[in-house]
Amino acid sequence: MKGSKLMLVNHMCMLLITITLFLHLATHSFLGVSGYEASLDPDVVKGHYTDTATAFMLGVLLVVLAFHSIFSFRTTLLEWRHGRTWTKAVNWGAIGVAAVMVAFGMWTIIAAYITRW
Amino acid sequence: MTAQAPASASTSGVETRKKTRFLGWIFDKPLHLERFGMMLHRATGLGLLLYLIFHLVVTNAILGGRDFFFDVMGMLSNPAAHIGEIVVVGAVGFHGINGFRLALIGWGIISGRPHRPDFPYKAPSLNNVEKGALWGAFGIAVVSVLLASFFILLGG
Repeated sequence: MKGSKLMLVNHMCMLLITITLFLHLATHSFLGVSGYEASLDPDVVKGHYTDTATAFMLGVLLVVLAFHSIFSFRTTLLEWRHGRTWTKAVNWGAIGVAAVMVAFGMWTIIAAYITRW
Repeated sequence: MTAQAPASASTSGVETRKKTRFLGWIFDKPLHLERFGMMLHRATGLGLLLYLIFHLVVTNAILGGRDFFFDVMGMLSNPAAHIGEIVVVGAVGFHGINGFRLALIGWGIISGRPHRPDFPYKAPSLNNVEKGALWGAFGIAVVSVLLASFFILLGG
């Protein structure tokens, strides 16, 4: 994929992050909870994962955050140094780290969604 | 412009150039408002990436059961952790607004039209709209910190 298209995807991720992160922070401050401390109660947190809409929102937030953060860090690393080997290492490293982050986060979301206490 | 440090006897020229380039990347002169904003944007971005990884690990504790999650949250329920969370929310506020400013500049929406460089030369890189947006990002960061303090320290 060309760099300009990746940047366009990155900008779309920024928009999605704004929406989903606001909702995520809202569920830990005023949306459906009485306060921040109450939102960290194990049953409340578990309820976020077992609610399909909230779990889907967390999944979207995870994917767009992983893409945006790793893509931006990759850009910074490629500005810092140049060279074919460096570029290749950074590109594959970015793909690997992003894949691990998404897989680990999705494991948490899906496992918490399907298991019952 | 990147300042070149003289090569010392103990350091080879290649090592000196590498070190200068790295330091120049962070502390290049002149340190004006836009460069400071860019530095802060990168610093907050890197910090938020590290926090994201930490957050993914901590939230995974929910799979360990109610008691285990309660214990983990208990470990993180202290003043230092709360201050850290407030700093994270402030960093999110600044990084988010400044990121949109940079995107708008990248699309050419708020950077203005290119013009001939006539005397007295005025850098077109930071016009009033961009400067206002950057100050707005600082302002949003302060508001985010205040809101986070209200919800985290005062319990909403």
